Amino acid sequence: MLVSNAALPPPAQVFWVFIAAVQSGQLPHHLGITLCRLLVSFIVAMNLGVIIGYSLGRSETANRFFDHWVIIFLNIPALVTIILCYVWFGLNEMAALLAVVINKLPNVIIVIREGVRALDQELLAMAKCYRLRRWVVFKHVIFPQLHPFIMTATRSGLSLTWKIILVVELLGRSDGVGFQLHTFFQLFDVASILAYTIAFVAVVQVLEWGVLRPLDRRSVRWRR
Amino acid sequence: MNELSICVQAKHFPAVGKALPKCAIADLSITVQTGEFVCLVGPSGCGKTTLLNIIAGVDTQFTGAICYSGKTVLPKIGVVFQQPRLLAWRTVRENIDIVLDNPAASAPSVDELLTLMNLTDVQHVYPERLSLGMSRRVAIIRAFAIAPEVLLMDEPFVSLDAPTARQVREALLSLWQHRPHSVIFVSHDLREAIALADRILFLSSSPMHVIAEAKVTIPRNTRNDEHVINAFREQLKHELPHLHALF
Repeated sequence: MLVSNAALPPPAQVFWVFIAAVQSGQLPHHLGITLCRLLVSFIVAMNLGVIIGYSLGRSETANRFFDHWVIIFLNIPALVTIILCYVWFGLNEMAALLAVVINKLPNVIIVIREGVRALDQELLAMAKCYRLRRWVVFKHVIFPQLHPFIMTATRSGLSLTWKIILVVELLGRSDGVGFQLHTFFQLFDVASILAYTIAFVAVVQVLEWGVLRPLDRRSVRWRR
Repeated sequence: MNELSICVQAKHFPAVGKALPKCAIADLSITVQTGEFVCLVGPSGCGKTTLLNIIAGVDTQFTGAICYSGKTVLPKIGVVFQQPRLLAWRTVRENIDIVLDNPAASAPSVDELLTLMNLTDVQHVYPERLSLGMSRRVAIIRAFAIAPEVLLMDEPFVSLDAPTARQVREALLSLWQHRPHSVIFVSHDLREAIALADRILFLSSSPMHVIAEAKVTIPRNTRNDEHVINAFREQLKHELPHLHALF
């Protein structure tokens, strides 16, 4: 045989390992912790990213000043920011979350900035003529146009966050899926690695079909 | 008397890429009385839309001043653009309600406008399902619904078929007579201007300024008659021979 059983365990074995991990409470515990980190860092990065991206899209001056920084942060390897965060702020939860946010933020910024630049100027002029209040303009004129861009940032951001968060856990946390995978790697326990992967895929699917798709549908119901 | 005085000494567009800088408007001065219906007639591309943007307060990069009854505070302005400019993601009714300060209080008058424009059936439809003519009517309702003191209209009947245009024009006039306010109506069609206006201002090509003005003296109740309109047009042609290019 080319591949040994240990390197490529049969599906049945992975399935039983998965069941055992769920029953022991290990998998739900670590997955839960990872999901919490995901939720916090995702919310922080999305909110900051939308605010900054919006400002840069609206103000040419601000954009000229910050553009270089966005490009730099967009291209710094994730590993570098993670290591630096741990070195500077210690091996703690704050540093871990900060590292994830820094890695995701530039991505959100450039997508939202593009969306703001694509806003329909004629509609904004209309809003100005009718002297609509700021909040009304944002809710009825700007946000619906940004919605597809926010959805794109959410999808690409979510997948990026998953990937970064595991590395962050692997390098400096003693819980979470990343930490577990690290342990399994050292034990060469491929079945467990695959079992955790299945759990991951399941969560992603639930998010996609339970949250993102309904939001998509809501945003396009006015289209023919 | 509340009057709208528009005075634009100069409006320049800076050079962009290979396009040369352009002086769009020079020494233009117009006064519109309350309740007066003024038509601006000029060749296409002469800067009429630019002027409307300035009056509406969208474009503030110009030398001059727009005053309403002596103050620079602008009155409530309703605008009908060349394109309907509706929010595609809001229904017809929502599009109208958005510009209102108090939609609940204005509901009866909006209902009335929708009936007048034959749009009651589609009020909960998204604009993408409407024809261009219907969208234009929605845009007109939106401008009327805020009960403006000044109404700006930028060729609102272009590309409407003749019967619809006539119908919308009549609706516009009946609304205006019902609640007098100043109307500035941009057109390139002299017949349309004669049918609607109290006074017609003729504009030059850029840099734009007023080259002539004419009061429309024929009574409003005879303006449905094509012959009367044509006769007045011939009379204008005769009185203002130097405007030959516009006719």
